[in-house]
Amino acid sequence: MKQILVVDDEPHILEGLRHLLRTPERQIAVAGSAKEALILIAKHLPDLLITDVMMPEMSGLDLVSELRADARTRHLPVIILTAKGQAQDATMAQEVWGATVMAKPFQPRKLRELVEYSLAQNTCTPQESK
Amino acid sequence: MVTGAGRRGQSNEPFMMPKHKNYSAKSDEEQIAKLVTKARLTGTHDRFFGKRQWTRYQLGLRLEVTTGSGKSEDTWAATMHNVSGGGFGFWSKRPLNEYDQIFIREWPETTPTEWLPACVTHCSTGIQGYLIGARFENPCPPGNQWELNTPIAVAERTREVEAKAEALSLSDSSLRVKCAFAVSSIACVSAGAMACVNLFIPHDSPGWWVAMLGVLVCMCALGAVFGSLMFGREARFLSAFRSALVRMVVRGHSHPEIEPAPTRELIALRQALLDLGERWQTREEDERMQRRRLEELSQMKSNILSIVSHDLRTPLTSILLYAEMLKEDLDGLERDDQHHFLEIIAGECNRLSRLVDDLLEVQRLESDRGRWNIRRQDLSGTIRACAQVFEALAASKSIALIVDVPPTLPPTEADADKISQVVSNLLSNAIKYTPVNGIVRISAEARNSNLLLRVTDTGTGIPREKWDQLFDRFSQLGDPNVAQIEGFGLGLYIVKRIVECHGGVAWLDSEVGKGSEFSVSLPIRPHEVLQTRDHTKPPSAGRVLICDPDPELAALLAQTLRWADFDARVCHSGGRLLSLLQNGDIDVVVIEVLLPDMDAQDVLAALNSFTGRKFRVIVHSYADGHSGYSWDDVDMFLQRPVSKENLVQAVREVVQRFRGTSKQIVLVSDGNGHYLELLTQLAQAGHATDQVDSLSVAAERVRRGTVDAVLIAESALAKGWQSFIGLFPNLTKCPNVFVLCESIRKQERCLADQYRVTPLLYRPGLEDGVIVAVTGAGTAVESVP
Repeated sequence: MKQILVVDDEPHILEGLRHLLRTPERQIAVAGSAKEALILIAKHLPDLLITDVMMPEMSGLDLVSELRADARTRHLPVIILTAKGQAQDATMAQEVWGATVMAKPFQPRKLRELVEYSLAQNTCTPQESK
Repeated sequence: MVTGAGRRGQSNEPFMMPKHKNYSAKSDEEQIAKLVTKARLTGTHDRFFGKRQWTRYQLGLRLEVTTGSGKSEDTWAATMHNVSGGGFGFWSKRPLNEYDQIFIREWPETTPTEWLPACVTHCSTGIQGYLIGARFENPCPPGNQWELNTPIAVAERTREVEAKAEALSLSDSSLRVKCAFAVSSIACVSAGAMACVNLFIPHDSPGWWVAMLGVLVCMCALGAVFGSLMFGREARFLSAFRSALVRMVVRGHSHPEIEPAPTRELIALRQALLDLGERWQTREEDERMQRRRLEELSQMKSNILSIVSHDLRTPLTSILLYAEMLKEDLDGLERDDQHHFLEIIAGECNRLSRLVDDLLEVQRLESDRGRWNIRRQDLSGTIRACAQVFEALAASKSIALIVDVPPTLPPTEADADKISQVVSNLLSNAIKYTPVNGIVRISAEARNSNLLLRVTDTGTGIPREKWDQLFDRFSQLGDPNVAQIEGFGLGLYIVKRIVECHGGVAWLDSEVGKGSEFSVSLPIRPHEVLQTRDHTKPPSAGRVLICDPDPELAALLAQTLRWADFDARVCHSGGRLLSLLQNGDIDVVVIEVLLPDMDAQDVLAALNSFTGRKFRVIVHSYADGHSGYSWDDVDMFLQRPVSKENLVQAVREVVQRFRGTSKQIVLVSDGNGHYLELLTQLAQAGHATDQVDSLSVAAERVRRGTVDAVLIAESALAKGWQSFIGLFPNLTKCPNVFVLCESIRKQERCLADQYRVTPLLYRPGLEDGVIVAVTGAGTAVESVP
């Protein structure tokens, strides 16, 4: 059973993504803020993290940087969804943190493919410490 | 760097390089030519000292001078006096000091015997000079013809020194007279001596012959000496004696009473240069400010783009997501889900449309192209209808929406559609930020000649520092990565804009944790139909920042000032005030010092010690003169309550002062003398005057930098100049100190030169001269803290 954590401050998007990515062999957890996501990750490490960038209090980029600083979550695959016009920060995330960046609005099909690909990669290289 | 090749009467081309065939020092010429091309002439004029015409070259501020090696460049200012017929250049190994001067002690042999004085301010040791120009074919050995000196008054001193030298030397005619006198006295003495010899010594004794011989020998020796004085080398001897004497006099070694002091002319020149420098500096500062402003604008633009794109993309993402899911798997979804998805899509579309409307509304309000439908009408129905729309939304969050609007309100001149937009924006904000089970109340009432509309909530509240920013456009501009509020943050900006176009004001009062109250005050009969005003042009009367803890009072003050064409902003706490002042775009601060977050004394101290302070401070306070606070440091103190007209008048006066059309003048007078008329006339000329009775008070004001010019009555200086110097130790650079004298005697002039104050002739009836002098004086007195 694969676990995906989706972080976004927009409830509609959370709900939509839950629908979109739902398959029998996946479990999808959602968090409305980066802080909430950190708590969930501390409890249980997911196989994939999908996060928005612009969120109240703590941005998605801050969340990823915090995860990358921690040995336990250093290799967690991350997909960043950004609605920002300029993607410099996201590019940085891509290069430095190895995160995949997808611009909003995205094609749902593409996201689904990307998620499948990321999960498959994760299975092939079981390197991260559980 | 400097050349003055203009010959007597040909000073219109002073910077032509002289062309000489027998130019001996080729490399020097090249070097000097390089220097010369960089010099700029800012003005010349001719002047006579005695019989000789002097051409003065005043050189531009920015002279680039190649140093001896020709590698590095120094920049300094120079002013020089140059005798006609030649020119010179020099270079320096280090930047020049302010009072350094340079002069030519002696020309080479082939030049006229007069020494050539040249004075260059901003010079210092380490300078080597080379003569160029008419006599360059015979250059002096380097280091010989130039001499550096301590400050010495050259131009006017020249005559004095020459006169002394003249008196000490012998001119040809006087030499002849003196020789004739000497010869005749020798003859007389010898005749007398012979007579004595005849009388006392017998004719035939050998002693007679011996005595006669002695007398003759003495006579011949004296004759030979005077003869040689008349016809031979004596002239050269005397000339050498004279030039040595001149040298000594000029250097001030043997004549300490000619203690060098800059002439008035030099002071004026120096002042002109300093002014020029100041102007340069101001311009550079302005440019820097402009650049910073542009950078800020550019940053703001990208932030706005980022926010707009985020806020537009978010609903688009949802729409696309759900639409795609419906498209892909319409049959696989339950009927309820299908409905739900379509609802979400419709909701997001509405949200997008609202955002676009907001953007367009702002655009319309800012460009004044909106259609206004101003009518005299009772707004109570409009407000109630608007509130009714929100009942469903409030109910969904279990918020009690209380509508406290009387059945009728006095007819108000307003655009009902716009007012309903104001009410909608306020109510939707209130409901959005009020937690479940809260209370939102809307009330309307007529107060004085205004319609007062209030929306109160029990939401999270807003810290005082943010009150004024909330009404700004894109007010949620903060960290662009952190979304704060749904929407662009345009709602309150639209409210403010609409209300201001009606001639009203909007403000907010809030307490964190308890809730907020947004208020709108609309004039029932607008003072002026403001929407006809051109909003694209910024008000020009001055930029005022109002700091008052009471948001309503602050808003009303700002409104008053805006009507008077000021660009008025408000803030409500000391912390916010100081952070707004950092931007440096404020002319006047109107402040109530009794603030909630800072002690009055601390606020005043912070304002006074503000780095690079460029604003004036008006304290407008309930605190009175007896409350233990000192208002000396502020530009104006207004005891509340103050009428609107007086406030506007006060701000206008202070702004004028700020812009330099008016000067802050302090008159030091011990009460003797008639200065009332002078003060009146200075005030009429638009200056702010103030009379103090002691020098120490004036010195303190100067130290604080709140004074543009100081006038000192002669009688106030009766205790002596020493006290003045003691009090103004840092004023050696200050030209704006004037001493009012009944007559300007030599002593005054000399002392004034020495201490760099300007004596002004003043008697009742001579006010004009004083006003002209004061008006022409530079801006704020320089002082070193």
